[in-house]
Amino acid sequence: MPRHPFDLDDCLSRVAAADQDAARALVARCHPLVARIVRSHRPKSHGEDDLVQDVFLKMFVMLPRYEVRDGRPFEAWLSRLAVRTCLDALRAEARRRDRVPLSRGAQACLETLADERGAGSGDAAAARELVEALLAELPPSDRLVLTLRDLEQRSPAEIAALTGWSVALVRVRVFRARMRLRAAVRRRRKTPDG
Amino acid sequence: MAEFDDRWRRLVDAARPALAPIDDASPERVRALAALVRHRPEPRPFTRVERGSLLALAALLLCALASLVRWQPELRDALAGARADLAVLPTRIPRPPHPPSASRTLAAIPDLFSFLDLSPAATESQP
Repeated sequence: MPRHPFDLDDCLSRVAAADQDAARALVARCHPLVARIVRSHRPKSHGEDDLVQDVFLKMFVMLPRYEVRDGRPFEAWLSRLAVRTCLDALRAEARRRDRVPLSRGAQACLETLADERGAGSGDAAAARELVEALLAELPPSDRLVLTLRDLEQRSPAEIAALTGWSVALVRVRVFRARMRLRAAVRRRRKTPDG
Repeated sequence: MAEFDDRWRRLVDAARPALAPIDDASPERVRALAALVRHRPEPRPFTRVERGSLLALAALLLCALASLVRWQPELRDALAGARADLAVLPTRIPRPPHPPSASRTLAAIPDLFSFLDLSPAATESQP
């Protein structure tokens, strides 16, 4: 059976009429994009599936506004929606932020990060653990901007398109976020468990 | 700061492979998410407390209006007076005059040295 190319405009117009088949096709197409964004930015307290569901719910509710107002690609619009949803969730979690104790491997990575003569960064799992623990200590917008800039290696222009901030604001926020990250590393070294 | 940024980038580079790959959603999950298309947000009804607050505000407003009825003639006079004052106001308010120029201001200041010679401080005996 030959596979038809995916016609996004046709699919969106059918989704607007609550067509289940079109909605299924759209979800199947967009799920990897949304899941990747949610996995990168979700707070610990939110389940990945719950946030993905929130994003798709918002997508269906706001879809008419996309058709009327925006001329940019659908994926860019959806990515921005997903990023903003994650930022809202991060802000909600920021009020009850607890410091996570580090494993021995992550503690060694912390020493390497803080030490000016530090060379290696240990194994991937320990590095990942430390990165997540440090990012969790930062304010939501700092965490978001560092994840986009450093982990996902996006350009300031891409981050501006995803967040709705200006490119200049993105640069300022990256700079300030790294300053706060440095302070978080110093705090961690002073009081490792507290 | 730049050295810290370099070390941070190395740490992030080391952490990147630990990201789990994204799998495709299962057909059941896709079906459940697609069912959200039928969701239509409905306006939330007022809660009991909100209804109570609205009623209290409406009652307060009614009391204020009822109390004004007693002062109706005075209010009418005050409004008529205000209207008459507005009618006699010029359509364009003239700008205030410019301040005098610096040379005229300096000329108006008395001779400072002669003033100091005549002041009591200048006639006091030195210790």
